[in-house]
Amino acid sequence: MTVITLTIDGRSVATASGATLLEAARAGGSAIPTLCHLEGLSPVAACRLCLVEIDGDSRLQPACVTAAAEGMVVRTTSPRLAELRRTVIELLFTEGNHVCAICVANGHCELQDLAVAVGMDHSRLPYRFPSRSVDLSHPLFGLDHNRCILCTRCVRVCAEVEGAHVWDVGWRGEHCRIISGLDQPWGAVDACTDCGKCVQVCPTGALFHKGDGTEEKEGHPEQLQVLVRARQQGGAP
Amino acid sequence: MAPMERSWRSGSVVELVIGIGNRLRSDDGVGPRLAEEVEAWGLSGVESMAVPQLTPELAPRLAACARVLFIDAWLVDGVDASAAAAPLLESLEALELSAAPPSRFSHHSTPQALLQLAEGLYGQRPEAWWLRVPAHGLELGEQLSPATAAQLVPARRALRCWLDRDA
Amino acid sequence: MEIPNPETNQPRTVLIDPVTRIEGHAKISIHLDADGQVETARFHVVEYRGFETFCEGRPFTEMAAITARICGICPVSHLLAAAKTGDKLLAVTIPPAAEKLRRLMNLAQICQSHALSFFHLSSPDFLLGWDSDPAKRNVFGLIAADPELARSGIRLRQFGQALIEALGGRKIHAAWAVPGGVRAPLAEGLKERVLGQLPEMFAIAERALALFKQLMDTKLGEEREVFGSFPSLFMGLVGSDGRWEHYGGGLRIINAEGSVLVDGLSEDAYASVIAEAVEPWSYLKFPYYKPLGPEAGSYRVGPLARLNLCERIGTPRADRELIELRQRGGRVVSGSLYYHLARLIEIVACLEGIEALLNDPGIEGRHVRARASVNALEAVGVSEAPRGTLFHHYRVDANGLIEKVNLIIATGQNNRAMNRTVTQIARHYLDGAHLSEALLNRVEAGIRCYDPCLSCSTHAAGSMPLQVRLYGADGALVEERIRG
Repeated sequence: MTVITLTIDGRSVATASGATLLEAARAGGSAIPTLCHLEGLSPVAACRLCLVEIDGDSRLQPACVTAAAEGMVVRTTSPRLAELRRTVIELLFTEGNHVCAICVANGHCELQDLAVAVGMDHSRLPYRFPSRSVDLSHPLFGLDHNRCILCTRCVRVCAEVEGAHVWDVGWRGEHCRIISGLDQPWGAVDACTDCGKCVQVCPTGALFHKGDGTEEKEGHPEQLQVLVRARQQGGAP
Repeated sequence: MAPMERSWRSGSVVELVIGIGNRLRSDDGVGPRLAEEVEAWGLSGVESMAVPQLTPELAPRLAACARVLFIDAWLVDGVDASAAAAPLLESLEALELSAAPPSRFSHHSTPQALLQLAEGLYGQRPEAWWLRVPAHGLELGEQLSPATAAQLVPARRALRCWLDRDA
Repeated sequence: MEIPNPETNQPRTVLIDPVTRIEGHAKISIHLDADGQVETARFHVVEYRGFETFCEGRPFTEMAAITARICGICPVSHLLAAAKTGDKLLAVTIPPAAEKLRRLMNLAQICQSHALSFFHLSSPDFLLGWDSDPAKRNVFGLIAADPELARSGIRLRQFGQALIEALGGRKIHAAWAVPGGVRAPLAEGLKERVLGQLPEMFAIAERALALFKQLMDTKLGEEREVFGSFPSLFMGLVGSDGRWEHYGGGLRIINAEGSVLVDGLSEDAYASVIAEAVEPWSYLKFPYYKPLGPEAGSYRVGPLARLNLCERIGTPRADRELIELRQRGGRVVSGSLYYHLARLIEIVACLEGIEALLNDPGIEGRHVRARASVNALEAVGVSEAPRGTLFHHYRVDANGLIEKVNLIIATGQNNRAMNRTVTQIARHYLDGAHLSEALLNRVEAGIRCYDPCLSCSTHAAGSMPLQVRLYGADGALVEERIRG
């Protein structure tokens, strides 16, 4: 294994070659906020929260998919990045219908936590109040599109870990949404194994256990990591 | 501490912040929202609570603290609805004389009435202030209007100033 | 607004400007006939709270959290009605411990709500007299006259609030009662703490009862006859054995003579006996007993109705008071001033009920929630809120998404009785064509008998000032007064 050295937030960080900037930064003690990224799933750089500044590159780069390189000088925080991250969160909030007070995930929501972390006390952008539906056709789980931020964790976990590929992304632009099967009601999709991994990894209250009331949903993405590690190493975790 | 005792404890809370309003009524939720922020600051000697309306059982808690700040939405309409409307931090002592007797028609009470209650029944009245944040809409919804949201920064500054923490 | 002064014929303005955060007025209009006598009076609630449409399209499991936010004064009532409706959509019988815990919370809720109504809103009227300075005829006048009474009201309210908080967690809005039961079993140590406080609470309630009974027999003789004293129907929940009930049982309707018109009716069938009229001048709906029509079929709900409906309360102290109430007012008490006495008796009943529930080992059961999926597409849940019977009626699709919601609230059911009360008071006390202080004070007090909660039924964020208008026979406005 080759070791490379780079500078992140003024600190010298050594990491294995092939590591992403996100892995290197976290190993070096820099906290980069993420939302679509989840250890154990392939990175997609969809949410743009992990953008960082790299010397010599005028464009910002998503840390989750950018390979660390020898001698790189990286900044994970700056006024420009702070402004950008806050705007990303504001866009996510204004694009859907997020009513925390009555949400199943209230108090255990990654989007809510990030809003606090980036200092979003209000949105400077207008709310769009889209008309979206709720799918309760599955016997165990529900999907509230109002709360979906299209991070695609559910799509990836189902395809990459469960191997069922129930979820996908359909339509475009403002009509873009998560679909199950061939855009069927979730309950009508035979491929679904009822495993619930999509619910566990969902960062908001979009996917939930039916019957859960306000504040009752706690996602457990760490269970996914245990599972993935066990598969990679073989045998019991 | 168990709730049963909490309402009666004294001494430990020096400053009390009470945010008044309904969070499902747009800008009316600005008081509770700010009160929750103060709670998150975790300042020692400061207790913060969000209530939909003022009710008499708050009086003993008022009587037990040295200073109290009420945060309330203040509905500005028509002409005043310009962005010029800013949060107003006032001492309640000055407003005392002009205060009308509280109505017993609804279940709503006023800060002045609650202070009088604390003094009349428990012999103590804290130094009282009022932070009023302009509200522009009270329709159903959890979001603040942009005009009210824009006042959060000055409101927060006023709050810190009142708490005598760096503004 | 310029209106003619009846004395000088010069236009004059009688407007007391209300202060901050005002969205709606509770309006009262008094209409005179050609002879200058009161023809009718109406209590208008003018703004509609759009909660029913707000709920459509949401999973029914969220209804408890949504509706609990309708009101900051009595969130528990909506919470329980929503949870009971949810139980029926799941078609489950909830675990016995869960029912006992829900009952405990409702008793605590009725207790603290009645305490606010009696000790802080209404008792100044009785103790200080109608013609005393309005600036002093309030809770501060009460402090001067009887500080212990004011303090004990606060103690009683704290007791109920603290019990609710301890059961539901600090955030009552987080919906502790859920379809299928409740979220958490009885907390360790709560039983002992509450039982330890009960003797003081009984003493407070009994002192207030003694005081109010004495006032009813002396000073309030006239008000007893004028404040909403008329025959009407009464409706509410009654236990299967005829006992006072606040959570289960069946619906009973009686008439002023005490004849039972409807008994043991399941809430599911409420629509077979109750219809809702809509009046152009109010956004509140006016429910009535169908067979008798909107006028004769109007009924009263709430503390007095519950006491009129039951055979007995079922606990010794409250039953003694019930017998005394009937000695004073008859088997079916028709004067609305007795609502206050009924509230005090119910406080005693609640305290005894709390004591009995806490001493019941069944309340300590650890299994408190039944799980199921949607098994019924339509359900009606009912509970007795402090102010009266509360119905939640939901229709959901096969997956549990709300298609339609109807809420029937206590203040709506008492609406017609409030109009009749205001009419009766205006007829008795209107002096010429002038809205005197004494009249306004009594009109307010007449409405306070029903302890209406307007935030529940309307669109009021905070205070709701009272606006009283007097109209001549020609429909012209004679005078207007507003109280903030």
